[in-house]
Amino acid sequence: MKKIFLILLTLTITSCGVQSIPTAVNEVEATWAEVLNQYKRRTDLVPNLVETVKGYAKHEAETLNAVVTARSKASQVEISTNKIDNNTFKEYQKSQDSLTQALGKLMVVVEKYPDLKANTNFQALQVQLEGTENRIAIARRRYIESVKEFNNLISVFPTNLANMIFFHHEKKPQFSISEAETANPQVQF
Amino acid sequence: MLNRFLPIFFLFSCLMANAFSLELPTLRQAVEDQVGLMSSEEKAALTSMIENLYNKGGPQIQVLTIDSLEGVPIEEYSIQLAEKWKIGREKQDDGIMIVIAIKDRKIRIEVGQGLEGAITDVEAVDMIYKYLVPNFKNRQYGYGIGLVVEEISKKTDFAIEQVVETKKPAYSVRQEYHQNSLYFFPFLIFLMILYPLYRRIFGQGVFSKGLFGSLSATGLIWLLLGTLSVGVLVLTITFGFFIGLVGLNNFLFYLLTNGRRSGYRGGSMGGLGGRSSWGGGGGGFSGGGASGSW
Repeated sequence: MKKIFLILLTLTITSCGVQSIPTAVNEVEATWAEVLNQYKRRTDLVPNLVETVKGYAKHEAETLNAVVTARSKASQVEISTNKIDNNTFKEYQKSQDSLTQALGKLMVVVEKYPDLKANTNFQALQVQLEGTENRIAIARRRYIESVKEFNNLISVFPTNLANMIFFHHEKKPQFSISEAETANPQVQF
Repeated sequence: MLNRFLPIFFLFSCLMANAFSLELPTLRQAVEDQVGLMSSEEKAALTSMIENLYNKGGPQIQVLTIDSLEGVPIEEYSIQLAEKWKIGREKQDDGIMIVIAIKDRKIRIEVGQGLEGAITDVEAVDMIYKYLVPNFKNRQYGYGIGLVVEEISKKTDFAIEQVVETKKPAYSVRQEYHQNSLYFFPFLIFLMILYPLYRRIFGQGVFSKGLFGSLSATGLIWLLLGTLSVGVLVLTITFGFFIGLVGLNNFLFYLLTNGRRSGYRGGSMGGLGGRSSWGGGGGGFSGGGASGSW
């Protein structure tokens, strides 16, 4: 009884996590939704891009096919906003990474076609892709930061006590550094 | 106990240090020309254009010129800056930043989340290559930026009804502060004056001894309390009047200053009293916009 009282006392005296943990959960969910949103934006951009490139670069069927398959694989991974399960997270991440790589290759190959590069439609798509990659990078960074804060809250004293008593949250999956690096190769336009 | 907390504080200070490793300039005015690319006339003209647009309810535009990015990609620099300065109104997220790095010859137009529809990435690129690049090549920096501001105002003249809303917070906070500090005063005065007075007059002698003493003391306290309450009433009314005056004064001050600055949070641009500060209103950015180089 005395112990429980002591714990409760510590919880009330220190900023105990009863408020900050749910706040952090919301933050993680919001930043994760943004990550999904931006990746989706890129997925939606791909068909248009492929169509435009096809018209000019007829000999690049292999590269184009790689992009198309990577895209369809990426859009097949079902992942929800509020329940981020570790395995699905990894699968999702892998599929998006391979799309990034396929797109990177495509944008290098495209350098060989001056007519295509002069096409205004293609130029616009290029800008959109660039912008989307930038948004993805930012969304990922914000997710990383929010998860870092959340994981700290549920594992570091004193807020971890609140988690042990009330919430029982587990750590949220985090983008690893190597993934973050390979996910943004220098796309040469 | 302290031993347990120290590591946590240490951890947090480490995290904080990490988050702010990039050195970012302080925000003072709408045209933050750190390199001196523009003449003071150009700066003034640009500033009034930007303020005018903002006061009409348009987006909040921020110009920044820096010497060098020191190896940081301009997109990274710009988003960190956006997160620190929070240009644009809260929730409307209608901020736009024009960041120019001279040595790197790099430009970025960072578009707030709320304006990504009005100014798409493609349109931002167009603005860079149509207005900024050709003029920057001729060293007409102020002119080029002016053209962009004009173009932005054309593209975004939709948010005019929102100005009034952004004024309110500054006023209510200020009034509350005055009220709190003033209400305390009368009670302090009563305590300080009346209690020693009672002790001095009736502390020794017949009124504080025996049955008679205690009875008379009770009576006197009762009487005193009665007078006190009347006094409190009178004083409260008086103070209330003064508080009212202060409130009115505040209100007038608010009218005068805010009328000039029209909604800029935190201060005016060299307006009344010479207080000059310009700040972001809590606008959010998510990476919209475009980069270019000249």
